[in-house]
Amino acid sequence: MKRTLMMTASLMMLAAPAFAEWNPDGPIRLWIGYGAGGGTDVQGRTLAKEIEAKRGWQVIPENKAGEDGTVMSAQLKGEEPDGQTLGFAITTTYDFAPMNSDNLTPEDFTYITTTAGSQMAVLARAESGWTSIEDMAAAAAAGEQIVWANWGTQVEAGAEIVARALGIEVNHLRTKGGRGALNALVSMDANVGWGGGVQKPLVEAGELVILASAENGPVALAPEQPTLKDLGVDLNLGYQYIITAPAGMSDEIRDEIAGVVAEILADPESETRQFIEKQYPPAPIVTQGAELREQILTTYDANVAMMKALAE
Amino acid sequence: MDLVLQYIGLGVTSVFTGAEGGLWLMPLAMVVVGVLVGILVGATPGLSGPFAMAIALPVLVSVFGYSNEALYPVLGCLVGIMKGATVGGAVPAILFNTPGTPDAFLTTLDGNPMARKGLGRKAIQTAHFSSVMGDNYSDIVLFVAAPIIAVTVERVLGLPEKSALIILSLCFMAAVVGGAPLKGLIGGLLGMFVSLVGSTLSGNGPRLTFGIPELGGGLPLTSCVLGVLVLSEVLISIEDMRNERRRQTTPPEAPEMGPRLTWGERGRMLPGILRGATIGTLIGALPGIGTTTAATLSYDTAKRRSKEPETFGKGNPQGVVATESANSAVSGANLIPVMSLGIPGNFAAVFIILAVETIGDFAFGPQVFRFTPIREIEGFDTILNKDLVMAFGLFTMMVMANAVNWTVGGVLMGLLGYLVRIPKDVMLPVILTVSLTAAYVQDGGYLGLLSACGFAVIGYGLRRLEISILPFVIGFLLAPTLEGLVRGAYTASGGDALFLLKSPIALVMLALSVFLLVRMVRQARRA
Repeated sequence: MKRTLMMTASLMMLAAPAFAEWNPDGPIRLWIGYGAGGGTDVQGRTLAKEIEAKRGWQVIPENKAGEDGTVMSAQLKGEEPDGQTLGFAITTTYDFAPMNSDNLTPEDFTYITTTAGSQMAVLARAESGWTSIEDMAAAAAAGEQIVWANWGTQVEAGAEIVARALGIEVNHLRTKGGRGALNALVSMDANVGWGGGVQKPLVEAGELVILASAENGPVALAPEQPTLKDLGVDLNLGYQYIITAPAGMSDEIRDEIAGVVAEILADPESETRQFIEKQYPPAPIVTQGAELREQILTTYDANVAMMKALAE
Repeated sequence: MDLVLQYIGLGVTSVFTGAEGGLWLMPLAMVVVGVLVGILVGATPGLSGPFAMAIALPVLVSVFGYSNEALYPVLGCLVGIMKGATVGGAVPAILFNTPGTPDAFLTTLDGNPMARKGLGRKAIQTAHFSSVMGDNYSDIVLFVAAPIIAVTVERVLGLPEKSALIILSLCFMAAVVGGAPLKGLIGGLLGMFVSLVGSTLSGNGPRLTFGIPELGGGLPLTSCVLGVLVLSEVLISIEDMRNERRRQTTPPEAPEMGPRLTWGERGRMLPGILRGATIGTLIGALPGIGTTTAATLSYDTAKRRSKEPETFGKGNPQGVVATESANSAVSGANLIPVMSLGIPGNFAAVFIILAVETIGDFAFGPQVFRFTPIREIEGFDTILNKDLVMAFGLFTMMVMANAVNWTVGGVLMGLLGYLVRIPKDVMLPVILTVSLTAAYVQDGGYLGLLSACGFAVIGYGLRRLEISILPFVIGFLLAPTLEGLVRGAYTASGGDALFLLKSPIALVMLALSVFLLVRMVRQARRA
């Protein structure tokens, strides 16, 4: 947490001299790559409001949901990289989803900044009585049909990897975004599902339970639950929320926008920061510029390798 | 029970609470505006509630934005228009024998003779009283039935059953709407076909976008509905105007208004209102049948039950009571399948659904009515089902709209006589300009504009072929939901080819659908 804060603070200072060097020529469109009500949507809208308050830039959020954020990114790609059109989605949109598309590559975008990291977990309904992955595996072995709610190709592949590692059969249910996966769980259309962070109120209300973390460490809501890696499944499905622009954006604009976001996320009073602290604890994750680009490109290659291995 | 009351309390207060926690009267103001607009629109021949809702939705969204706070004012205004229009339609029907809205047609049968006998005021007040009573009655049924149905559905219906339910609803609608059943089916299928454009949950990328990335999210809903419903009607009206120029007549003078309606007379109407409202509510809860059928059925029943059936059609107030209470009761009951299942049954419901899908993160469906225990965690947050609060908020606004209808509506109705005189050649250009602007603003510039124009041509074609527009729009709106459910049911079954036929409930619903289809084809053959 300290490190993140330090990093945010130092980035803020770096960005500080650039203030007011660039101003948008009219309203900025913030295209949200997922549907209304999910974690990406709520965060994007709060952030838009705060950018507006901070800089006086008019930021208009708009949902363009579908295909792991690529319905949005395919349109973003064709826009001018002048800072007037930005995309808000998750790293999966750029470091995984382009491999299913003939028209998209990770090189098509300018990566501005991340905002927060997921709390990726395996969820089940509390009334199922399961408290661990083993319970689920036992139920499957005893003949119960497992239906796993997924919102995209990557997490569906992840579910399949878990199932193979456990030696069980899993049927998949594709939903619209993380919110859709939760609805499928609650309305009993599925009995297991992924949750990236929006699950928080339902887990706290006691409707859902976390069986395992799919991050590198345990998730904040269930610190006692093991990670999938602890269970011998080599899988990390953690992702970050990320702001992007079309490729070819000047460093000046990129750093100006990144600077505003870093400034907002470093402010303990900020609504976006408070939302992130609650939903994606412990604190915002701010990676920007060249470092972020490097991260996306490396992860993309790793993901291509993972899918090849799965297909074999 | 405590929990239910708590949620109702939260819902009511949420309407009056702004984002910052202060008092906020905007939703109330928008309800009032909506009802007034609705009454005016209803009283203007050539305009109807859905028309005004189609145009108002994009305008409202551009004023209030897409955030969660925008939902109450926008829905409030739409609900107001919906309710106001059902009341206003009776005025020109009574005074000038020209129904303001199609569902007020039967009101002319007895309302106009009453006016010609010098009882215009009485007739209008009768229409107002029965209309508002019918509306209130069906709202009460909605408030009770929607949560119960939703909870039952969530417990009983899985993916295959939900898929089968939507198939059954679509078949039912195709069978009952309009004069020729097979045409309804064709309209519905065509609507489903055009909705194939865009993203699916297949993971294989968007389909049928013709390489236009903007279509990845599907055709822009609001613009398309605006085009097929409003713009096509404008095209038809222009044609009619051109052809009827020779026969242009001056609008008639308003007849003598006469005495007021007494409370004793109101009291004697109550049994008739109750019967009409019950028929309207039952019909309204089924998708696609709509106000005209409800009014016809109610009118016929009243006539048959009456001791003096020969006076019907000659100025019997009971005729006005029967039609107005029934057609107004449809509007509340139509929201029962919308709120509990997400299935719209008429145009008004379509726009309520569109508003909800466009704005904020609220969505209709069984998940809305989960009564999550309200718990407060110190220093953190309160845990509750926000959707449920929102649903009760919507109910609150409906009650407010009824109150406005009761009070201001009654006064306004007496003053509406002159509206019939607005000539069409003034009104049509206004509608056209506002609609095209709305489509441009709402759905991403030229994409919205072009889709609206494209769909106007489709709508024109459908109308000229006498294919009802309603199944087209509802097919267009529901097909993506259906596809998601069918895909889900298939993959969740592990790729079982007979996935829809494994559950007895789904099987019964599909059998009913097949029965309806066979019946439609046979009827069409006979005709």
